[in-house]
Amino acid sequence: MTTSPRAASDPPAPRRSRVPPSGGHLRPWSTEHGPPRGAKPGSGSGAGRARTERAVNRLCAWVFAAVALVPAAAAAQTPPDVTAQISQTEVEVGEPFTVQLKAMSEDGAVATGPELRAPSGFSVSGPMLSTQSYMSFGTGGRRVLQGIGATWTLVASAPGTFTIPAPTVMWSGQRIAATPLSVKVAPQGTLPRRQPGGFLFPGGNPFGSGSPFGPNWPFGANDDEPDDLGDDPSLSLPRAPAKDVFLRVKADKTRAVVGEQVTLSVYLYYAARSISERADTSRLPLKDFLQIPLMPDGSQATYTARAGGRAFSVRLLEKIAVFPLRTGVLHTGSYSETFLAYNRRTRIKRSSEDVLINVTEPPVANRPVGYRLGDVGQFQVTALVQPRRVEEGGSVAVSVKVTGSGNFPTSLQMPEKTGVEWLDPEKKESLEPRGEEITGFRSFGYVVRLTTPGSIDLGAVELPHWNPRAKRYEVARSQLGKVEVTPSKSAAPTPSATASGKPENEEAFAHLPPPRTTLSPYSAPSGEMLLQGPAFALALGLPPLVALAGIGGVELARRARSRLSARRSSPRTLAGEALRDARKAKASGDERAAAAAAERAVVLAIEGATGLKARGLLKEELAPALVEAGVDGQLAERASALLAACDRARFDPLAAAEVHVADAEALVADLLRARVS
Amino acid sequence: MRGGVPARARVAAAAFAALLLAGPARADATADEALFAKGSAALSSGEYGAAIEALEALADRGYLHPDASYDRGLAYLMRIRARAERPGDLGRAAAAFEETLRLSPDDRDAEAALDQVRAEVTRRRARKAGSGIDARPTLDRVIVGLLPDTAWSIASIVASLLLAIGLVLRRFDRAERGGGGSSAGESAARAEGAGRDDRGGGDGAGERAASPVLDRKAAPAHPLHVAGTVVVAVSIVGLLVLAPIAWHARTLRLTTRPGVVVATEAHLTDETGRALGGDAIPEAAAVEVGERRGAVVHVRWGASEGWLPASSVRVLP
Repeated sequence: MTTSPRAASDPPAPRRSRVPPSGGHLRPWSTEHGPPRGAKPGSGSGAGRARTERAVNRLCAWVFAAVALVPAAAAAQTPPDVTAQISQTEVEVGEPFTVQLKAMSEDGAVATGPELRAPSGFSVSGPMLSTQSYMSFGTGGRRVLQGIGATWTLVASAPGTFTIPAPTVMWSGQRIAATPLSVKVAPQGTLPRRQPGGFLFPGGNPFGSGSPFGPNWPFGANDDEPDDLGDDPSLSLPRAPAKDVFLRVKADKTRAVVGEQVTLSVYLYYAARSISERADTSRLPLKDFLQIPLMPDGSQATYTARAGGRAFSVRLLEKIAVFPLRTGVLHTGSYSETFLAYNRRTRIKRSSEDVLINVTEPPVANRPVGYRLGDVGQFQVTALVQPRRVEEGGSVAVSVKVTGSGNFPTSLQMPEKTGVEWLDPEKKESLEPRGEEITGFRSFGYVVRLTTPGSIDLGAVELPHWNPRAKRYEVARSQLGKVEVTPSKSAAPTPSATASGKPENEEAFAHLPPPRTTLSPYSAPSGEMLLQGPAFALALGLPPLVALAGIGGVELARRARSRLSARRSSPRTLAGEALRDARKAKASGDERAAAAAAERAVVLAIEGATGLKARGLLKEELAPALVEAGVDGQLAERASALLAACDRARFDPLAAAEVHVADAEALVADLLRARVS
Repeated sequence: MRGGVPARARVAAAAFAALLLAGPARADATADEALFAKGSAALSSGEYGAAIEALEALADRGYLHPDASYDRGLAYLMRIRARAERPGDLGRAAAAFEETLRLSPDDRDAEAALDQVRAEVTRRRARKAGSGIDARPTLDRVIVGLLPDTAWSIASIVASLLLAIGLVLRRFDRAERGGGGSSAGESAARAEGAGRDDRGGGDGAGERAASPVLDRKAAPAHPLHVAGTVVVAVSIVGLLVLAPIAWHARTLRLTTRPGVVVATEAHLTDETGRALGGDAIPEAAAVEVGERRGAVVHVRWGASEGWLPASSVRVLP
């Protein structure tokens, strides 16, 4: 990996680094699945030891399963690099220390059976196995190493200088040895007292100074020292998700186009005396992104920042360049970490928030022909064609190199034409993070077969791409030039033939019609649907509904008219009219007419109250008939008397004066009130 | 001249606004034509790669013209002929010719080219010892496909109008006869009759009330009433048949698009990506494309339906 200048968005340089940065060229890519760094042998709890043994057993099972599955593959692989490391070169009698062996290979060669033969006088426990995975960036490109690690714990029983024979590992039927190690054992109590290690692994940190977390991680040598670091505003948060420890994923942007780089930084915030070490890590899933680690191990530097008014120490755990693969609101997922609490008895699990990145396509306007979604960055294209003169049917090599930074294209659109056959390219690349960008080159080596004699112009290779900095499309272009194709002296090569003896594709498309070079007059159909959505439903239902409504309206009007007409001709209405006539006649002094009108009113009232037609009855029959119809006897008598008076008034003008309209009114009102149902 | 903005200034402003609006549209049209010219020139000179790029870019811009689609199909065929074929080229050619036929149904050249492509697909399947697959559409698709959805819509609206007319015609008979007693004069006469009855003591109201019923039973139905009854019956049946078909046709048009398979073979899966089994859909097969969810689309092929990767299907405009 090259050293990069500090990017503008990096946090400021720490004023005090609590732990020295790891110095190895190779850095662990993934966390190791080793045993928990627990107490010294003998001093740990039984449950802890049982856990450790279970972990070792599981790991052994995995390793042996892997061996069983891939014996043939291992035979074809290169031997692993085997190295050994000792935790301390000077120890006291009775003080445990560790010897660690690593067997790593680039092609994943599986090594088994780690063995350590300690000198006499040493007690040995282990090995504890772990899987290892490392990645490095360099001029030769990215290197990924995989393998196993084995750690033994040794305790010397006598002073002296001892050479520990080289630990060995079995690979492909042979035993490969690391280098021998030397240790000086001093009498008990003669060596200066050491600071207690942050790792409670026997003998201290098995990774030494190259640990991803450093000794005493995450705290300094003196935990009781008050935190005197200043606040870093760029890492400060208005609110702390947890008061002791939490994880935060920070994206340099939340809006991007497909293929545009987004840089994600994973930070750990922890309060003083909250945690002692990291136990288990679950990285960001990033399933919709292409990801390239920028700082896979993060930074050893520690910053301070305030979150929700509290002071936290902050450490960068990981920095990744991610490239969105599709449009939409994409989720990074959560980064999870399990910590061992400060008291080393409980575990604390924390997860970061899920960051959402809104991903769109670059603008359609001014999009160049041949642009493919995802080609985003700043690129240049160079090409080399060799040789320039070839016989018909022969081939030339075309090497196209794309340099720059961004999301490099995985394929190129070559200028295909009749008589020029482009075979699948061979790809090479060297991409590495520089600052916060992925830079380098990717080259495509084509073999091009030329089947038509003459001066063939190969055309130009173009790479249209979106430049996110300039916010515009650019086209990187390189002319391939012409190749002279001489006629073949030998017979033309016979294309692959089918059973019928004809070339494979000749039968179907040998005679294609000529292309259309001009656009004929054409008007696109409107394509609009007849009556959209609810309008169609309305058009369908409205005519019968209107018809039914009209018919209903007419029917209602008819009934209303009929009811009005019936009301006008009802006995009650007619009785009222007769009474009005009676009053008018009385007022004009026509007593006989008044009596006749009063008689009519009473007759109609009787009909309205009982349904009886009083004119069809004899005078003496009326009162009993009314009583029989349910009218009160007194009322019946009054009606009978009034009708008799009216009858007399028809022939006797003096008797007519005896008929009082008021009596008739009262009688009509009483009769209608006492209406018999 | 009256006060306010002078007429000449108004005309100038309107012309300027028209220019502003028409400018981008004309520029787009010119760019489209230039792209077509570039594609067809590349095709004429055998540069099928450049032709495909230009004509695909034209399609991406949403430009629709049967000649552009036709040339795009030819470009893919040219690539197949040059033995530089890529998986899906036959399907892409078929999609281009299908598109041509959708835009210009009478294009005989496109029809012939499409037949050639489908024949080639069949030939290749036969060569691979694959049996011919006959995907038969379901009955609802057959019925709906008999007419364009607009025709079904118009037919159902006509049925609805006929129903309305029939209902009115049926009513006509009653109104003519006055069976419902609709006239005001008739009511007055009846009221007068009632008054006379009161005075004279007659009792003919019951007889009169029964008379319209008797009249109706005795008199033959009015021709318009008969016509209305027939029209109502026919239009109700028509509406019950046509309205669901029209609705289904419209729903299909709104929720589905025609498409063509542009993968060598496409296997239907369920939404989770698990294979459904059954025959693979051959390249260049015409399918009905429905909802899209992420990277997969719902596809109906004959009576089979399931999900396919969106990249395996080209949706036609």
